[in-house]
Amino acid sequence: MRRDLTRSPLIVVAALLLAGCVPQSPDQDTFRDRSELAIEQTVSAVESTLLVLRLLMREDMLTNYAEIAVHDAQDSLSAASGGYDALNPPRQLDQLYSSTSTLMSDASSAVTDTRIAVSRDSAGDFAKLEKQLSKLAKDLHRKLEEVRAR
Amino acid sequence: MKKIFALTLGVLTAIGGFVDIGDLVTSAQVGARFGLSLAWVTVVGILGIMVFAEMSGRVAAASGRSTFDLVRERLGPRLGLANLTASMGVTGLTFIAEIGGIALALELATSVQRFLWIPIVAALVWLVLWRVKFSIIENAFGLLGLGLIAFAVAFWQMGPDWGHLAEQAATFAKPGDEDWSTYAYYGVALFGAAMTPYEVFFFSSGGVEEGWSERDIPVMRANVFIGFPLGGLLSLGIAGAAALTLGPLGVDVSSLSQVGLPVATELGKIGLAVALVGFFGATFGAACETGLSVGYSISQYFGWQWGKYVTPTQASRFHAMMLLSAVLAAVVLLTTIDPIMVTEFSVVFSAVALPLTYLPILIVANDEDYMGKHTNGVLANFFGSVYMVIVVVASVAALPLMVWTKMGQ
Amino acid sequence: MKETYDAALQLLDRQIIASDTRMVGKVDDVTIERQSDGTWRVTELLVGPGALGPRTGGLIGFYMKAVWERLSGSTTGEPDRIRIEDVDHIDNAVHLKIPRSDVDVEGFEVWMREHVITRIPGAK
Repeated sequence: MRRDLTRSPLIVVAALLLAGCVPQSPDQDTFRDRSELAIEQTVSAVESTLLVLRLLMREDMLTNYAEIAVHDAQDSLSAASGGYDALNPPRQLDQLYSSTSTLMSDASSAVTDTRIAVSRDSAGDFAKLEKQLSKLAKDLHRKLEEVRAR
Repeated sequence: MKKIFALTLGVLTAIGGFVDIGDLVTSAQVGARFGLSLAWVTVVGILGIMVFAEMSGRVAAASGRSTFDLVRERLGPRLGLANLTASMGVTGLTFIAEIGGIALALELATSVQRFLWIPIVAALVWLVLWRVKFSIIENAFGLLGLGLIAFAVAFWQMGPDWGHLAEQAATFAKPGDEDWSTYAYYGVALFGAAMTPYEVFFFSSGGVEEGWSERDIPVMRANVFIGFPLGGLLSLGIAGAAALTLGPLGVDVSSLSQVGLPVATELGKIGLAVALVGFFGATFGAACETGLSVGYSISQYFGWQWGKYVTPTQASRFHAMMLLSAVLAAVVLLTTIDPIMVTEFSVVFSAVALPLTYLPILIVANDEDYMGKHTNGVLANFFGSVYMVIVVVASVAALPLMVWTKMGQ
Repeated sequence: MKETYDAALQLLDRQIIASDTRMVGKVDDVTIERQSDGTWRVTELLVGPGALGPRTGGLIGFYMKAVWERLSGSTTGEPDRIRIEDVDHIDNAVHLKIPRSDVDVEGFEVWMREHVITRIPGAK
């Protein structure tokens, strides 16, 4: 009876589909890879935002374009952190998980602040945000090297 | 004088019309991640599109018939139908991607959300296909697409270390932090973007629209052999500018806004505005070409009256197909699907469909029945055969690489 | 001197063009008749899904014909045809002696024209 069930292609497909809905519990190697990917995506979003902000500060950027560019960065960041937060980290890597998550949420709020400042055109806040983002970028690059080195 | 003007116009149009949303996105992605280490693929792709565009242009000029008009006669109705389904699928996907690209370009220019633009853009593209003369469609957007020269200028102004770049482009190597599988995946995507099937659909049907005869072959060749390589330089400019600006920062291109950033860095607001015009011209022109190609390919399979040289009432099924495509594209894009993702899929599936498009051209161009004294010579057949091998390899590798690398992650 | 003519290669699937250069359809199939002297002669060109469906065969061919029959309201299931007498000459296409308006092949061109295309402003 059991053999019949596993042979039925419908059940196999249904099982695969259901498996896709359950939060994944990756092994340590996979989780390191996923963390690396998440940090890469965060680096990309933060550096894009920083580039746009710097261009705005030296008046080399169109305001409409800047608004959308930062918005795009925010979108990709929220997609990245959504995907990462859905993982169940292996117990041994709790440290990596929490540090990565923290960096991502810091990045997320910095990028959001930038988007608001850009759409309000409040140039006075730019310098402070620039400093915040460049420190964040530095931390992220360091973290990325650390993860890649392992 | 008039002849020189026509020639210049043709070449300029070919340059500006060479790049579409697929080239824009893929070139920038590859530049940012791989530097110029995949530039050789672009060069191979440009040479390939030149070989086959010349062939299909020659078919149109010698026989007065578009290449795909002749495909069914040689492949038979069954294989012809399979071919039609596959190429229409890919061209339709590209059409959707281009319309999404126009909406993204307008979003960047106005900061009005792309969803508001999508229905307007689809309606506009349809209106152009419905009412505007073929020669204007072909030239106007090609010329606007020349705005992408901003990328080449920006790249030049960055004053790159040419020796180092040449070495990077000439050697078969990848950046240390990338896998060979992702390198191969992006290579295939870049190849698919350069050799997109609709380009030859459009090129050969366009020749019939404009009533090419044997006398037009030299002009057609000038367009292909001068215009296409110069257009390819724009692709390389986009990749190069991304390589120098975005690469070192670790920016991975996932939106159209990132593609334009290198230009702003180097040329400021004016350069960025020019590049935006280029985005718009390139994507709008390509949307018209892909939209027409959908109509051409299905009409030519069934023998329906097609073409912009007759009124819509005389080619109602042809126009109905284009209307349907425009509506469908808007509906698909309004599901909030990311146009950049559609683009990534479209270039990979282009690569898959390449043999279906290019093999028939090679067959027809060798048929003395149609071609008379313009049948393929040794040179055209040599390159044609070499490219058939390359195209088959890319086609077979495309899907496994896409699955294996999770679309290049 | 006797020349052979390969109708499958040189006639089937060719584009049919009316005398006013308008496109009619493809040669989707032909009918042949045995003459009194024992030779075979092409008598009609068959055009449209009604002919193409059976030639394509399989499920796709079946549905191609079925959908065409239903939509065109054909009760006989007979495909549209053009008499060989109306053919002027054949090169890389089949050229007719008569203009498009005299050809009895419509497909859905007319339906599409009347119900969709002419209702949109600027169709003319």
